[in-house]
Amino acid sequence: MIKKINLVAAFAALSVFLTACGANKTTANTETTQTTSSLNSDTFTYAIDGDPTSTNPITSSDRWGLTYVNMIYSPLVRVNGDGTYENVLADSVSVSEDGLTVTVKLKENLKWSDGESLDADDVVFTYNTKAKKENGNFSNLWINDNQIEFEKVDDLTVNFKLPSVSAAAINNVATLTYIMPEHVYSTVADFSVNELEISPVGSGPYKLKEYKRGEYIAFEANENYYDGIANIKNVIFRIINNADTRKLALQTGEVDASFVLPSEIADLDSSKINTYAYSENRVGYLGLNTATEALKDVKVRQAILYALNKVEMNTAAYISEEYYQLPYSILPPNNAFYTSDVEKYEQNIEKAKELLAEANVSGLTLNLAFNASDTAQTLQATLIQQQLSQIGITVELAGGEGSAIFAELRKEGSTFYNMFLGGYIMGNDPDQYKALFTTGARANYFQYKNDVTDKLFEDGAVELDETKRKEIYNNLQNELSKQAFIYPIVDNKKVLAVNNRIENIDAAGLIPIYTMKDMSKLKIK
Amino acid sequence: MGKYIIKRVLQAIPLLLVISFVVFLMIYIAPFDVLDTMITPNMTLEQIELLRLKYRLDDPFIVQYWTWLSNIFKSDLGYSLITQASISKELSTRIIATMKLVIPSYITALFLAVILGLISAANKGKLIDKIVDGIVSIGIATPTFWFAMLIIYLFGYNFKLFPIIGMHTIGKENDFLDFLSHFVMPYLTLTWAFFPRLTRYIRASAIEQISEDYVMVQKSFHASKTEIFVKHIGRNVMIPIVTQIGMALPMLVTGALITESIFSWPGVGPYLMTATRSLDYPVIMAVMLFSATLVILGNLLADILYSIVDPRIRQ
Repeated sequence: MIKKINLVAAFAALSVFLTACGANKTTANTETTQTTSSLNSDTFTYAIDGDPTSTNPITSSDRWGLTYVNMIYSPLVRVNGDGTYENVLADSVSVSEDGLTVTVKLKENLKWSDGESLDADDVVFTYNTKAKKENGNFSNLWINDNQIEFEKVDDLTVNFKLPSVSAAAINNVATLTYIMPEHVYSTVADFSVNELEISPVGSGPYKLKEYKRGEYIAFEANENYYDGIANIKNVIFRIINNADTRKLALQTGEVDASFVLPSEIADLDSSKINTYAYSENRVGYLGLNTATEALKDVKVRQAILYALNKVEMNTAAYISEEYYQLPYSILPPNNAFYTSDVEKYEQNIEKAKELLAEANVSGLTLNLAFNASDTAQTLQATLIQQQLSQIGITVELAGGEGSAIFAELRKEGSTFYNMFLGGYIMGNDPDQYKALFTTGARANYFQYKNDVTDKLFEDGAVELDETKRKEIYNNLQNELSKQAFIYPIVDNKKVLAVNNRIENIDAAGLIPIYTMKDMSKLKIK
Repeated sequence: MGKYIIKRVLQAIPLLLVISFVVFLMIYIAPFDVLDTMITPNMTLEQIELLRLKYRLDDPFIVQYWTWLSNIFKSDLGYSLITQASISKELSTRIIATMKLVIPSYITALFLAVILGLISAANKGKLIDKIVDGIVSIGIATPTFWFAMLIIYLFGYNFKLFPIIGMHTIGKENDFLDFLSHFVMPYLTLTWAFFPRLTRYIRASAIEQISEDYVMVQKSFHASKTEIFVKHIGRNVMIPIVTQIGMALPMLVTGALITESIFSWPGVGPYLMTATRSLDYPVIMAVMLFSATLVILGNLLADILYSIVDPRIRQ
């Protein structure tokens, strides 16, 4: 009897406790629904997967850092996803006959978010700051150890004086650099840091309202924005590390937009959430380490490439052609200099076997490094293992941490890995790709050495005639393809999922890295 | 007593030094460093050298360790290498956020565990004991992240009762009700994660007590079962509970790593996770130092409370 009473009492106590909680819950809940809806009518919330690394417009090079910078600051010229140029602060850009001077004219009546006017002094100040070696992000503003000079002509005109001819510099000098106001930033002592100790003033569509590290970044419209005040008053970048939580928050409407994987699209309610797939001009590839004993012979490398099937890999990882394109050269398919007129290495098992026989190689065992936390790479790796087994090559899978693998591959002459999976986004000018493919270049993970292609890179950089330049890079892509040390697998698209109450995604423009070129063009239904 | 405490605290210092040395060494011998996680193909060798110099990553191991250690003695936890933000500033807000979540969950779990544990012990082998044991077994076998997703799916997604992410709605930082609605789901998850082990522990200690002689004596005096449980067994079970509370101290920092990451709770969890992935060693070392200190302090606290609860131990 006593026992029973005990039990009843305990349960009674428990239920009282639980109802108490329950009561709290409901009141709390009605409160939030009200507040979120009232907040939401003028707020666009974008889920990002981590804090920006650098919010300093001079040093920023990470995805969220650049996205942040692109909200607050503006460049002179912007590059669209298809490689076309679009003037932002610049009114016009012209190049002199000799190719040594680039003249940028600014738009009239430009203003900073604090109301001061923006002029040539600010541009010269920004470029001079960025060109300083100690600030750590100078490389685009130097040509062969000589710095580009920046010169104010009048209040609205700046001359960029190149020390020697460089097609890449002409194309890029006005892009990628976000202009800072001299009257505010001249007091900053150290520009090499990741976060400037100053509250930001810029000329972008938004200005910073509040940044709570690890939680969110809140922006509000900049009323001095040159292209009209933003349609949506507030933008919030909400930091959510966990991918599943991000997806659920998107589904419940707590956030309006987030990147998703192609495999996740089916889970989203298509009557509420739209998805937009766009290319980031990334090339995902299988690299062969030419320094390793087994892969020194170009015939063996070619045999490997002939045994592979990239369509099969991509269907496994990216589901349908809506979400990827097939690259055949080192350049992404959307690049203006891309050519598919190269050796494509369509799967041909017979030919692969022949090549191996010619090279007098049998019973080969190779290891393959890949980032084990990357689902796409894991799928690719297992398929490569299976495909190469058809020509009698045994592949040992060496999954690991991406940073650790590339730290090893970066070492000169490293032979630890035979093959590896990687990817790069190098931008529109083909000259930028030399960081990966010239002899001794720092990101030459392939340990690839070749005078012919090195020379072609050199020639391409200084050729100003567009047709001739194209020809050089066609040759280059062809030559690199023959060397068979890189197997371009995929240009996989980014998929942005957006709540359908948000409109005008096209006007805001989806571009690589920065997500959107100008979030001020978005609208709430 | 005072002497005893001082002695124990002094003993803790070399232990902390050894722990910090080992952790620092393990980070050092990892096949990559923090710079490797920051490098992009666009950076030139010169730029990388500059960074390496700035972070002093080329210094020999002992020099790096010594620099870190001497800063600690100056009570300077340093700066994150990735974000360059002050670690002590960041940790101070994050530890508070973690405590706001862990303390209520732990107290609830303990409360539940004492009730269920005692009921179960009193009815050893009977149906109610088996039910409690069943619940507890399921609880122990449930991975926290899975339970969290389940809770989110039910209460956040299906019924749309609570917001999924964060600790506050932006702009409502001082609104207690808003805090509560964000709090409920991670709180339930953590309580569910904490209570099963505690319940088992308390049940086992209570059963042990039942077989003690004094219970036999009480029984022979015809004391009622309630009386025995409340007056005698309950008191003796206090001792293991106190030990548990002491041991739980480090949870104030690292008790909710997974739960916090899933709910984007701005506590220590997401901070440590991100830092570990990029080998941001000053952050890892700082969190490690805190939790190691709390482990040692927790043990000390348990011992001290122990001697208060059971004066015989002092002799």
